[in-house]
Amino acid sequence: MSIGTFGTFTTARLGIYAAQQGLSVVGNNIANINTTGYTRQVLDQVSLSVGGSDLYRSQFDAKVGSGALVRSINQIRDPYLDIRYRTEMASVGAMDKKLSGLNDIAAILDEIGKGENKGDGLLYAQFQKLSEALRSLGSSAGSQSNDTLAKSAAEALTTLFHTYADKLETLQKNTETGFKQDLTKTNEILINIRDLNESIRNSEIYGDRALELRDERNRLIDELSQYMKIDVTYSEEDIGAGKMVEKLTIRLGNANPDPTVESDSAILVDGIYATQLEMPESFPKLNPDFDSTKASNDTDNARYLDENGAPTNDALKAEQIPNDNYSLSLTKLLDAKGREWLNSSTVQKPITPAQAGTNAQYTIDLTKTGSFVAGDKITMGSQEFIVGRGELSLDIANDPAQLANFLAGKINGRQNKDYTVTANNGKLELIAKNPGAVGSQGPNAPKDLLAVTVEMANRTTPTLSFRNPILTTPGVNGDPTATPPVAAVAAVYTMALNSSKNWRDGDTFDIGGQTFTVGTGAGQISEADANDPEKMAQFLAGQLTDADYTITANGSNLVFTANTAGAAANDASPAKPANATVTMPARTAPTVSFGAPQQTDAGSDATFNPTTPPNDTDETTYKVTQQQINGQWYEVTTAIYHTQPINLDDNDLYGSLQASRELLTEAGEFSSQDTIDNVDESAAIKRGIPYYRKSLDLLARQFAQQYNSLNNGHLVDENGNYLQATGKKDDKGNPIYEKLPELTIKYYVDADGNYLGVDQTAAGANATEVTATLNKNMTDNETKAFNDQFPKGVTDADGNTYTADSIKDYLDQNGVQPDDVGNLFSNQGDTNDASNITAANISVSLGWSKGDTHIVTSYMKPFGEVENTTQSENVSHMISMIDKPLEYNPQDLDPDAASTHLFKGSFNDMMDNMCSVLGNDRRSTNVMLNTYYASAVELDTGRDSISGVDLNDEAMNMIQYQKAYSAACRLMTAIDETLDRLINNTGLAGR
Amino acid sequence: MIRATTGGVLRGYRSNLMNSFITLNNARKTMLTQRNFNSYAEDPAAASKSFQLRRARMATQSQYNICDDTYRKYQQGVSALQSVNQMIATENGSELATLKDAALRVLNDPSGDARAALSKTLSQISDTIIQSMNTKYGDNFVFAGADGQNVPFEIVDNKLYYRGIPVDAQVPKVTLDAGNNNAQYTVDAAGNIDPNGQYYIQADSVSAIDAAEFDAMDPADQPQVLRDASGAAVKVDADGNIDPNGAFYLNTTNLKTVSQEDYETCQKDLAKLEYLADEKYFVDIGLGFKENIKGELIEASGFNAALNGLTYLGYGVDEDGDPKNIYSIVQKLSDIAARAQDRPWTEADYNEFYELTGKLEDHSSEFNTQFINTDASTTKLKNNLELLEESFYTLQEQYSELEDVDMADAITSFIWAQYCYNAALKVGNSILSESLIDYLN
Repeated sequence: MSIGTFGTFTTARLGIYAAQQGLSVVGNNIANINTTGYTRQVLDQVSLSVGGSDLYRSQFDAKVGSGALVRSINQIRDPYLDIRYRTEMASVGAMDKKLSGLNDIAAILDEIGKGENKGDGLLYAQFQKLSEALRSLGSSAGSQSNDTLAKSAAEALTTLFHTYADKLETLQKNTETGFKQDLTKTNEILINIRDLNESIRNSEIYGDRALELRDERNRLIDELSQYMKIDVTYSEEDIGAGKMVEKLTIRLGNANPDPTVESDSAILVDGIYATQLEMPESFPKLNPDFDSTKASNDTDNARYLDENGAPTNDALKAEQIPNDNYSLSLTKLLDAKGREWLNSSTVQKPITPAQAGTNAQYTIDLTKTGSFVAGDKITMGSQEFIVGRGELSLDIANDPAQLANFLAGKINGRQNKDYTVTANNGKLELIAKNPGAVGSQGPNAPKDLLAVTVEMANRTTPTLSFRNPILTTPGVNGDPTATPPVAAVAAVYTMALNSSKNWRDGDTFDIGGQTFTVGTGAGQISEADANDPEKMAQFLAGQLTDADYTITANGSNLVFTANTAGAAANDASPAKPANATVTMPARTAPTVSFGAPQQTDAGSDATFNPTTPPNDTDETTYKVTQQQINGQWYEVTTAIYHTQPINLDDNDLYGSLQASRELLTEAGEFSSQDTIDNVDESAAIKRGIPYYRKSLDLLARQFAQQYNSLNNGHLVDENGNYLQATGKKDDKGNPIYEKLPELTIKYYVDADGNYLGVDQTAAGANATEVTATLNKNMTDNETKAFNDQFPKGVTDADGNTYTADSIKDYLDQNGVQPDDVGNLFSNQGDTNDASNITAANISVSLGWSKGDTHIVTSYMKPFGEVENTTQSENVSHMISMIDKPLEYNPQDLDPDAASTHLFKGSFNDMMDNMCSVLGNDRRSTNVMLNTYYASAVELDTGRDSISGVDLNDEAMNMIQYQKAYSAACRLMTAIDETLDRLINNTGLAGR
Repeated sequence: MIRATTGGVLRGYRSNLMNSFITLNNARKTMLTQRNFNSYAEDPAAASKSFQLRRARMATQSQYNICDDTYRKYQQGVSALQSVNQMIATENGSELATLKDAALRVLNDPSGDARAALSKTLSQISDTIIQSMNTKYGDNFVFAGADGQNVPFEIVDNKLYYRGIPVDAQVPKVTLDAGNNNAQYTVDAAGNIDPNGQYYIQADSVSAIDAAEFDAMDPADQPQVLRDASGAAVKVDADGNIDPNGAFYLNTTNLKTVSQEDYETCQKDLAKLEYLADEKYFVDIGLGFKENIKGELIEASGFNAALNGLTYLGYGVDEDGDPKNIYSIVQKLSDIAARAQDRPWTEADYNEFYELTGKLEDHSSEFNTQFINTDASTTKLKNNLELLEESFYTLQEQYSELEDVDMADAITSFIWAQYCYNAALKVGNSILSESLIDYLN
């Protein structure tokens, strides 16, 4: 209806308002076109229709709306695209960070294009320069200047090792700093999201959708998704009074491939609660015997172990394990005011109370068979009811639902003080008035009360007979007054019918030579009709036949109308049918019985067997209650979770944080078995900065070990036999040596020549025995055999038994070393100690730098005395060593390493291998980054196609709303003019 | 995509523009560095190969230097050998007479007038030969085998020593025991068999007496013969070797013995000479320089740079007891010439001198052979130098092929990348300039 005369003004005003709002939204969209994270807003406008009917119009047609209403302003977002984008961004973040780290490593180790001759490399070239110096030394052995040249080359090499090691260490520190900054940034994001959640929630409570806050929140979630894989869900939260507000939950994105680990889906943000990532400097040592299914305590279930291995529940007293793995943990979820987040879950289990209580409810089924007839007697307890008499009509008796109602009423009406009984759809419903009324097995007393018997009523056989016919109309030419009356055509006789009223279905009767049945079938008379004499008369009139008369019914009489005069003349009256012969069918007694009571409700004060709740733990408190839901009792176990700090598993994160962690921790083949088994099953194939540092260390150690070993040998004669001192000197005062007593041992090899040891029994029956003589030029097997045998004692030709630990030990005790021997490389420049050499500490040894030690050019002393000042066989070994394939075993550097093989090759090959591994890793990471990035850009563009502001769109909207605004204003003018006509210019005709 | 929004289009444009710029930058980098790859990641296989080639080049360079050094040492050696050779045999008409010439003149000097002078000449030439053989290259003596820092040849009391070992060392012949696998047997100072004795009987001093004849002699007249520990005379063969079936006894009168220690020293000296004549030390001149499974250098993979003076001059003595080295022969010739000066040849002297002259001829010939061998090795070194040089350039070329860009290709790529980038910029201009807003009036 029209609102009124001025109602249309409202329509125009609403139009103006809507258009103005629309323009505002357009303006806002355009203004924010460059705002990061801004989501396009649209006006949600609906037409207004007011109810009621027009005064002058039919209420069924021609209804006019009343304008437009601005319902809300919405954002357009596609949550699915958000999920995909964020998943992709985790990959982009991971690959970006990894590539950045690998590039940093490559900037240190990759020597392409560096060095002399436009790319000879640095470390690469330095090995060759050392080799060159050694060649010079080899060609003029004994020359001090060549020794100095080699020393200079070695010093330059150690300096390069130091430089690389220092740079890698600096990179590790910088990466660690960056990682910590990323952690701080991530924590800020989490806090910001939490605070935004609170602001949005508060706004929502007051009806504001807080679109701009959501934009900011989405932007932060996008940012967070680069740092870690996340799973974002929205749900409705009941804040009381029936008010629901949206709740944002962010969990870790289930990144850990280990299905037994659940911490990878830990909650980061839950509404107004958020956690924080922490990287402790150390962790308290966990007690392996701690039972997490029980609450922790200091006596028998402590969480930690102290430094003495004693259990303690105090984290501060526990032994602290350094956090070398950069492991992260999540703090408790807290809100802005520092309050803890609590959550609970419930498990329901249907139960039966041990004892029903007041208001316990039962249902009892009523079963009725057969049909009652009037006069049947139903006895219930001391009460008797006759069917068809009093309140118990035949209909009630024969309808189980009504019968139940009837009986329920009668029960309540009596002395039953224990139960309230009602009936519902044929069932009795009992409610206990007190708990004492109910036994543990149900309401036995009411059942007793309800014992019902049925006694059938006696029935007399129905009768059907006719009285003699009486001529009531004489007919044509008839004279009923004459004696005897004169019959005529159409003479009418009336024959009265006597019919009893106790017919039942199934009764049959024979009359007039025909048999009829009381029933509902064809040609049968219904029980009701049979018991109505008029209906019976009508039935019989239709069924009986007479050749001379037409039979009709009149009330309960049969009327015979003579078809011909002769009929009446021949026989003054129609023949009266004999009395009917009635047969009654046998009757089955109807029954009424009640089933066993079914408890539907145990009552509000039912009692239960005691139940034991699960043991409380530090994380969870359990509470068990019994609750009645829709009449059924349930045992409800409520677990209340107190969020504890969560230690994240090694692979729980995926994204830039994890990439940083892997850069900081992964050592590839240097990973220990413990790490592979308990931390990261893929550790052996992931390579971060530690891998390259350790590889470089191993290279430096191998290099130092090989050259130190070559420079710590013992004198041999021209045949390679080790020499011993004699105390004699030649003419020039040079010492004269002699052969060490010959030492031979036996060892065993398999068919392929593989070394099986020196123990024949252990080697097995098929092993082949080989004899070895101690000599400089021994095969690897022979060397192994001697090194194995020495601890057991080797006896020489003179019967001396040696107890050296190794060949070197034996020779140190019994052999002769030249004056120049000594370590060439040490772990510090001011010492000759060659233990634990790494790339960071490898140095030219003190001895070599001071001149006490030189490169031993030869260990050969032919005949124990011949001088050979320019012999250089040991330098030859050193030259060959540069290009000799050597086995790089990670365990040589780190005894805990799981792998025993890293690479086999020369020093340069090892360097090349490191760079190739790095290069290939960079290459594949770059390809993956490009792929993920392209995908992310595509998804972002896809999101933008939904949520982004488009100038063309907004321009169109602007025009649209502008025009709408103008039109609404025009409408107002039109109405104004119209009313002006009505008010000011109407009724002025003739003036 | 249902909508293409201003932001979305710009984002896509930015991303693609960045790609285009990166491509341009990479093309520019390739141009500027003139390298096909600037990191392992760009082409790991090529990077690895390139470093291998560069390493080989560096090794070749240092091997070239070593080879060059060795070549020069050999040249020096050959030069010295050549002058020795001239001194020995070449008819060069110079003032310095040759050994052959001087020896012949001694031989053919019936009166012996010139023998004194010729004896001195021989002695001087031999000394000069030794001086030449002690020539140095740099700080090291060329013909010192593996003992370059010590002078190899020394003359002490007119005896030549090589690295402290007399080059005429010989193992004296001693009598043997046929009944004990022809092993030496020891005797006491009196010349009787004694397992703990310190002496051997020199075979050249043996005088055997027929056993039957000895037995027939009056015991008082019987000379001292070799007896065992029980005092029984021991039967020997004609050469004095113990033989149970021998028909002789060994007359120990005037018997010469040699102490066990001296005997072993001589044995050892000879073994040393044999070793030193074949002493080796190897340098890496690019023949592989690899070690076998026992850690010994595979000889064929290195170059034996040792020049052993003994190989040229000879050592030891022959069956006649004459020295086998040129110096000692000449010294002996000189001694004979001096002995026979100013008088005609005695037959013994003549014959001895004559034989020695023949032996000098033989050893000169051996020297010449060794000289030629050394010269051939020098040529081999020279050839190797050329090979190394060629290899050096080949390796340079090979890694250059791997590393260096094809400029035509690089320039084309750069121009194309620049063209694409310019096109991308042009597209950007049109994206930014137009929207419906611009047409609203």
